[in-house]
Amino acid sequence: MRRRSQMASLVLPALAVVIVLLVLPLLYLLSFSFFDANDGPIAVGGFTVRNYKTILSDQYYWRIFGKTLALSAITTVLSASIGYSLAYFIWQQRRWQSLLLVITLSPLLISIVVSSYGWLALLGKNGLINQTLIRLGLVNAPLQLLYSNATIVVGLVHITLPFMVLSILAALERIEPAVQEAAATLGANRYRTQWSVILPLARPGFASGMSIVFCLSLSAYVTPAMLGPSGPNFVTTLIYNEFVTQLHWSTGAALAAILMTVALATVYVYVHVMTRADRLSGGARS
Amino acid sequence: MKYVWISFNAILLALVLAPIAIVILVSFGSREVVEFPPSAWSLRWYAFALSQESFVSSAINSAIVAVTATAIATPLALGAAMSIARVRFRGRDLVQTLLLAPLFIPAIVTSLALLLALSKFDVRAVSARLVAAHVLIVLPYLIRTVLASLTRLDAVLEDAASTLGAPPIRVFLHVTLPLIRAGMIAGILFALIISFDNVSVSLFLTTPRTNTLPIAILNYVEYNFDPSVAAVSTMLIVITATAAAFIERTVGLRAVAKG
Amino acid sequence: MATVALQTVSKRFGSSSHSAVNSLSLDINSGEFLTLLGPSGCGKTTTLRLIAGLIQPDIGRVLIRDRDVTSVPAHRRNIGMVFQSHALFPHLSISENVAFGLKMRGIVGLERERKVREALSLVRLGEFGDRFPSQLSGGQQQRVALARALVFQPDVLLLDEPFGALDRKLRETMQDELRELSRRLAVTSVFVTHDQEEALMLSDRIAIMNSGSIEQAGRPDQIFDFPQSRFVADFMGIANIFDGEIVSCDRSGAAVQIGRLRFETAPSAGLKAGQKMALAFRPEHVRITPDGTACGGFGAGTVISRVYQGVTCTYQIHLDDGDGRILVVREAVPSGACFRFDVGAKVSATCAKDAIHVLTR
Repeated sequence: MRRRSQMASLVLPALAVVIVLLVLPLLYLLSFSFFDANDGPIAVGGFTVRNYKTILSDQYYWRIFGKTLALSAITTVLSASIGYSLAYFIWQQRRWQSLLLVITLSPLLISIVVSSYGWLALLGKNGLINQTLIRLGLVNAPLQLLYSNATIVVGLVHITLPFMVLSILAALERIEPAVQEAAATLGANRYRTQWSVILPLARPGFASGMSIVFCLSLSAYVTPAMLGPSGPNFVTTLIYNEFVTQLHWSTGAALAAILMTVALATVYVYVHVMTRADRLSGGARS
Repeated sequence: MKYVWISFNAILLALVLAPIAIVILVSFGSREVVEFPPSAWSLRWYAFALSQESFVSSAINSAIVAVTATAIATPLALGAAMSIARVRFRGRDLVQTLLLAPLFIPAIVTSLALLLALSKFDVRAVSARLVAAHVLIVLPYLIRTVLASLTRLDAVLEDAASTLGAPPIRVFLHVTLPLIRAGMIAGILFALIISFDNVSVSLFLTTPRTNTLPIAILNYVEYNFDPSVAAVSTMLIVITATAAAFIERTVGLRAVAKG
Repeated sequence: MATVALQTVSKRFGSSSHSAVNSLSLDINSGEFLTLLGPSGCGKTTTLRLIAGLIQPDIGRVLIRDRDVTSVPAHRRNIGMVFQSHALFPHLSISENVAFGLKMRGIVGLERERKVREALSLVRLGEFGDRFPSQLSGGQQQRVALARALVFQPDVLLLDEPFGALDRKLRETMQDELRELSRRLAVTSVFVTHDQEEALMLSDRIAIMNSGSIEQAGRPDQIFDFPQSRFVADFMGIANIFDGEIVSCDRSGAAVQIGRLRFETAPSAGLKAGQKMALAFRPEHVRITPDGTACGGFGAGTVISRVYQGVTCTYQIHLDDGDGRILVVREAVPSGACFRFDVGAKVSATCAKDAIHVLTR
């Protein structure tokens, strides 16, 4: 008995660190959203939800939220399609799996500044793509590929792809080989097997991958700031501006609260859907 | 048809590698501007980068922060993982969610919150702030990796060691630790990579005097667009790739990087 | 003095409403080989783990050599345990595995080496010291596990279905070795299994467990020949168990009514008229004859199935007066596989009075 509670208490230091460095500071930060603090970290007046009302009634903020959500959604869908193709491909490989995995996971292992710098060099006016297109005579003048919404999506897909591939790959590997053989003996050709058997079984991988990717995209800061058009593109940039540039702590805090809620809601929905699916399908854990 | 499929995926993989490949290639250019392909090959930008105080000192800072943060986070993660994996205590799921939470909170929010709290309690030393933030960053990854290793390890072995007369500490030292060692090393290497590479959290906690390498690169790029950044980045890539290859060889990257 | 004593031990897990082990008391004598036998979920492994100290009881006491060890953790109890999955440390060599218990007790140097050598030669694996567990076969791994548990002369040896994962031939070999070893070393042993044949073969005493309690304990032949409850009879493989009522009883025996059938049993204590109980008939003890040549007992019936099993043949007989009851009969097959009866044959069945088991529970 005593031994069990002793061992359980081993979790306390880590828990303390997370509470002290994350939970409490977060609560502190979010508390500013309920007060008037538009000149730095000084809260005046009483409890109010005015900050939220201001944000939710302002077109400007809706536009940016909308853009954030839309681009994140597009990223998620693209990431899922590309991710599935790559995951399936890697799944089928025997020999080169390790190498392919390292390549696919490379965006994770490289600092975001390096990736972004790479995209700048690739997509810039003098970048590789433009130079190639000009040399091949396909265009006469360099295309404007950078600093657009599409560039943001490209950058986000790049950095979120590893997570998507990992999730789907994990789900694919949980499929028993016998299932594919059974489908074949029952008369399904390769396309039918793919559509009716493999894809549905890979669904948990899609669910978890898409939730993670959506969450990460929403929360991205460097990519939209470095690769997108000027001016705040994502809510994250807004938050930075409000806090650091404008010193509107209450607005910043309210924005942060809303962003966090959306991110956590995504995770919650995912967990909820997964546990329901588990119960229905008799428990193939994700 | 099969070759279409392979080519398609090969192209996808090439696109994934493209930004990284470009950076490496650009770093070997000899001219002042970033050009691709480089008209002549040279190592001058490496020499230049290594001579830049800002790059060198920030790299050293990054290394110190990464090692310190990982050193602090590892025993914390070990303890947390041991208790979660081996004891069914009340609220275990909640605790586990809480410990992995930093992965889901937007980095900028985490960073600002930490900045606020540290300012309020008057923690001025930048290095202390950075280490604190980085411990928070790497902790969830380490916990996840050790947890994966522990759940793979059959608890029966620990029972056997108990019945043979080993008190809990000796069970841990002689049985558990040796068997999760490979996973732990991979997890630690991954944590070092994550910490070294981090931008979003370090962005608000660094000062011009005390910097991390990615932030130094970011600052440099704002005013200069020469290949020295590519050189620094390439060096970063090489170190990271070596560590990654080692991880993949031992427990596999999937064990540490799982989503 | 019993080497191991469990006194009204109870254990409940988590929030479940029923106890895994329910007020169980058991004494195990010095040098005795006792088997805890029962189906999955009966609490036998939990009981073993309570003796080992891997879990603590909610109520009751555990004593080893008259010392109250109820709150003493496993590593201080001086027990040796063999697990179903051998649980050898994969990162240590065979010698290091066997030496582990000695190392924990501070035994070093030459003495340790000597003991390890002796233990390995005891299980006939003396040459394997430098190998690693992954290089050994399943049977060899279990032998190392045995050596590892015995090398430091534990007060009691605990075995949790150690041969469950082995194939049949290997299992029989290991059972022989274990029996020989335990006789030779005279170490008090507690063995857990669900295989009644294994229990009968290895044990000095068997305790049959059901839902956390001991249903019956005794020598193997006692359990086999005199099952005291329906559960025990059923578990020991007696296929024909029929509920009935005692019509009359006296010193020469009892008359039992089972549906339209009537049986005379041998005298047995504690029976009275009107008592509801069950009779059990071993398939091997039922005699069948071609229809009409015998009467009494089960009366007449029809063979509805016949299964050839090599040495024996098992018939299922639908009884005319049995109200749907099926009688299972097993008899030896003379070589040439010439069966006495075909499916559909009419037969009569009887059972000797002394071979009828009376089950009051």
